[in-house]
Amino acid sequence: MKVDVFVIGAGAAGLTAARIAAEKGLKVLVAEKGSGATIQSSGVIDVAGYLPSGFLFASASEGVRIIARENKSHPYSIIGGGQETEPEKRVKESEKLVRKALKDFVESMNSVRVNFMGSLDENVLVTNFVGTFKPTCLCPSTIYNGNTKNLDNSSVIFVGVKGFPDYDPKFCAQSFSDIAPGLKIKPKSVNHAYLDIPGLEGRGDILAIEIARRMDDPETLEKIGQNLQKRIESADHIAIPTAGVKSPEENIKTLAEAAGANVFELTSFPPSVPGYRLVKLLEKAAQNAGASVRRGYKVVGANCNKMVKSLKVEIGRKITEIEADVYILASGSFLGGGLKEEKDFLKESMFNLPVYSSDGTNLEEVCLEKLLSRNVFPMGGHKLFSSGINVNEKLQPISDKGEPVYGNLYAAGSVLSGYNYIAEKSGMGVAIVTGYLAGLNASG
Amino acid sequence: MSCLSDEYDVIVVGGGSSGAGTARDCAMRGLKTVLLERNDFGSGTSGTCAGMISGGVKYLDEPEMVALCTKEVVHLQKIAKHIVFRLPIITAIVNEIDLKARTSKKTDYSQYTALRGASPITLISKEEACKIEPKLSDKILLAAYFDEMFIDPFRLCMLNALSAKNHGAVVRNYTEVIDVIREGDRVKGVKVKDKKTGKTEEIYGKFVANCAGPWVPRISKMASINQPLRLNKGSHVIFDRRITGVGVVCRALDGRSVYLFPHFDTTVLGTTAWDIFGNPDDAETSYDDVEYLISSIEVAVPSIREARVIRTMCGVRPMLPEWWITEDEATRNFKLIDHEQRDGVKGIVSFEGGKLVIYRIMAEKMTDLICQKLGVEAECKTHIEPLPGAEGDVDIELWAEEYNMPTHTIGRIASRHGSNTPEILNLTRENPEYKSTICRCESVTEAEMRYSLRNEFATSLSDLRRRVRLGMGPCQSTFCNFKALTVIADELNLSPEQAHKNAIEFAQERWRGKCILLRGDQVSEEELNQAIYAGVANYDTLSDFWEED
Repeated sequence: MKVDVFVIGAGAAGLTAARIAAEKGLKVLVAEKGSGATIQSSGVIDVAGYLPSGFLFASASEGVRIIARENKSHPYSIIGGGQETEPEKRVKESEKLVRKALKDFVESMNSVRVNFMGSLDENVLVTNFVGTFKPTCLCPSTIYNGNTKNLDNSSVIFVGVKGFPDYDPKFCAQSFSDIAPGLKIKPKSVNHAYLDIPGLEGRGDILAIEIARRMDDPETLEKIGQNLQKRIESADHIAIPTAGVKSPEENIKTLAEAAGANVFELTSFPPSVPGYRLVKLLEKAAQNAGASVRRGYKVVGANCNKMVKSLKVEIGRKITEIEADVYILASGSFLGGGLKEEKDFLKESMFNLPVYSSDGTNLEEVCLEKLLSRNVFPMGGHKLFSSGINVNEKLQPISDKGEPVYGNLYAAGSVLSGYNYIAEKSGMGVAIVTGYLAGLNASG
Repeated sequence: MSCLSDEYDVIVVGGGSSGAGTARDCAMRGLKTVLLERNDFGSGTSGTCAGMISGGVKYLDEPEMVALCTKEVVHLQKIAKHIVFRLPIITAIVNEIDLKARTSKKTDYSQYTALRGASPITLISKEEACKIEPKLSDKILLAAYFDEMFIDPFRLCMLNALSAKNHGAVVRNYTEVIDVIREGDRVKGVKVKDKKTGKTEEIYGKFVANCAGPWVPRISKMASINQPLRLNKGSHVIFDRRITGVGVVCRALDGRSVYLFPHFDTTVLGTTAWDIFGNPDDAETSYDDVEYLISSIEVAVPSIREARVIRTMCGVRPMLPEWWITEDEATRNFKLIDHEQRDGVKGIVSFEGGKLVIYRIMAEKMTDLICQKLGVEAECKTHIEPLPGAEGDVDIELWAEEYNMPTHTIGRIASRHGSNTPEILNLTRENPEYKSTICRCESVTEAEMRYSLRNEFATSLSDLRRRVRLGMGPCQSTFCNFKALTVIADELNLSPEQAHKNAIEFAQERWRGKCILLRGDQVSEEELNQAIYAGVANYDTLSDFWEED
């Protein structure tokens, strides 16, 4: 079997790269062994939230500029030309590319009929199931409507479902109103309520996806709307755990009309419905462009000399060899399976590329414990999770000497070193931007 | 600040098995008792063991000890039947040196196994052994097959404390003894600090029972008594599932014994025995401990290297101060120290040495001594009267039907709460949403958490871990922490700040055991944990945020 571009990994980076290459008319195959790590995400597009010191960026573009200037090994620096480039030029190039890639992302989401809202010039804070917040850049409109600025000087009600253990609206409301003063917002009132969802009454162990499916059913949604109307006397904003899988925007509209208030979704933890939706949308956009996305395809080996010649792919019990002109490694970090620990040291899983920490140390010689803080959630994150492979400005994996390892291999997403998406709140941003660039580069 | 009527007969220091057991016995014999634990019940030595209550197969050179252990196992099978379980074990004889050493033991263990209702030790061939446990190496020479009893050590400590309370004792965890009040040659009480409120107070009593395990020397020092112990560190490695069907014991690289025991949903590999000379609070599992254990058991179970380690665990044994012999040769028996006799200080007694399995007889002897000194005549009944939950019968299938819940879930609740299970299930009558499973690894329902918070001295998520195994499974709290924190906030009326901090503390406590040996697939599990709590919930910047506020 032969294709033009072989993409390893169907997360945000891989699917973006695949779509871009397919849009250029290339034959693209995406191989995914499982479901990718993007499905575990909160479903919003963080681009740049914090410096490792905990400094909160007012906007993603400010974050990208500061990072590109200060941190030479960060992907946001590398895409602007890397270490060799003048800082000012690097900053400019990088910001330009980030804007282009995210504009392209928003358009691609529009093409699958979903509105992502937000701006690179303003970070917004979104609230999650436990009533804390994180800075983010772009969100589905269903989540964006609930960003904390919108909630200022108004009445907010957090609505939950009894028996859904992931989210307690009472706690969420309390936590939100305790945190609000620090966010410089003053809601007029913050309350909570429980909502009956037809078919889920009197139960425990309710899953988010079960609520979502009922939202997608027009008859049930109408009843939910009526219940909402009955339960809530008046509010400016109503927070709900999920708006559905298939048609969240329409569902929110229906509920908003019934309740006479702005209705929005909270961000949540895995299994998160917005995370699931994001992957499905990225996949649909890539497929619409002509890419072929295959799940259950596990890359188990590579034939390489100076170029990658072919990959061995395990499909079911059979191993098939697939050839391509260009390969894109978007296999993720540890969670996605792109990086792994073996005999106390770190390895890249597919090509055995050297793995580096964010300060440039080759991790084939450093014991893993050195990359961990004794504090469980340290400011700036554990070094371990900013480790990955090094790439040049074209996103080609490079060796210790700085030379491309294989002429036809590009990499994108969290397999890259130099950034800690957990601490920075930059996961989807880096994935989409590097995926975009890798897709362009792969298309020549 | 105390008048005589406030004076206790006994102040028990230490809420491990020996302390909680002593408090129970004292209270049952009508003594006015207070139990003080500086952290949580079972959070020290008792809570860091594998839970084995051995009939004493390791001590065949000490026949008295074997007899004593066996008798205690028989008692525990009655008084704590719901938290005792049986595990078949294969001792794999791995080489010639091993073979020689094993056959030279003096005591015939079989005469004791029958007493416990256990199978006798049977020598079996390599082939038979591999049939029973396919993960065994085909290079072993011979094997011995027998079985031992195990207990949930956390619940054992808590149930003793609970029983003490039910018999009138005052029971306090998170209350640290910071000084011993001594006047002349007599100890009159202790000064304590409530760790939750920071308040200090004095508590007076006729006797201080120093049951602080490895911290016994520290309490004695507060009474100006010099009491050195031999402190010995035992480390364990915990795996993410039941790797073997039976327990496996084999000779370690240095000639001691190591074991691999399936334990609830995990497997425990232990243990090391290194003497330590520093502060027992600082004892930690080291990389060498882990390598020693894995390299040793690997000879019998070669696939162990591929298994996923979820965490490490470490405890300190308070051994008798006997030196010039190896830890294995040292006795595991205990000594009851009457400091009036030994040091000329009245009003204080203490333990040296001891083991989980004999905690009850230790407590009995100490209570005998105190009663004798107080001139109280009362019989010990701790071996007859069941601990809470062991009083009645368990009918999992009946309850599953009655409360419309899975038998699996009820089975788990019953394995912790025995005949008190319906009290938990009743909570779901009014609130069916309490049927929700908060910790899916260990099948912990919201109802059980709430019951424990109301009735079992639990005040934090870490306490719930010890009570109901919350967050003890493969995901190590990744998927239950964010659900559990809202339950505890509601039940204990915590502020959101307190609840978030509680969740961070819980994660921190898990991290302490994880960060030593983050390997293989557990690295990706941890990435998810970090992505949820630092990434989405923003806990890495949250602490700053509350301070600003």
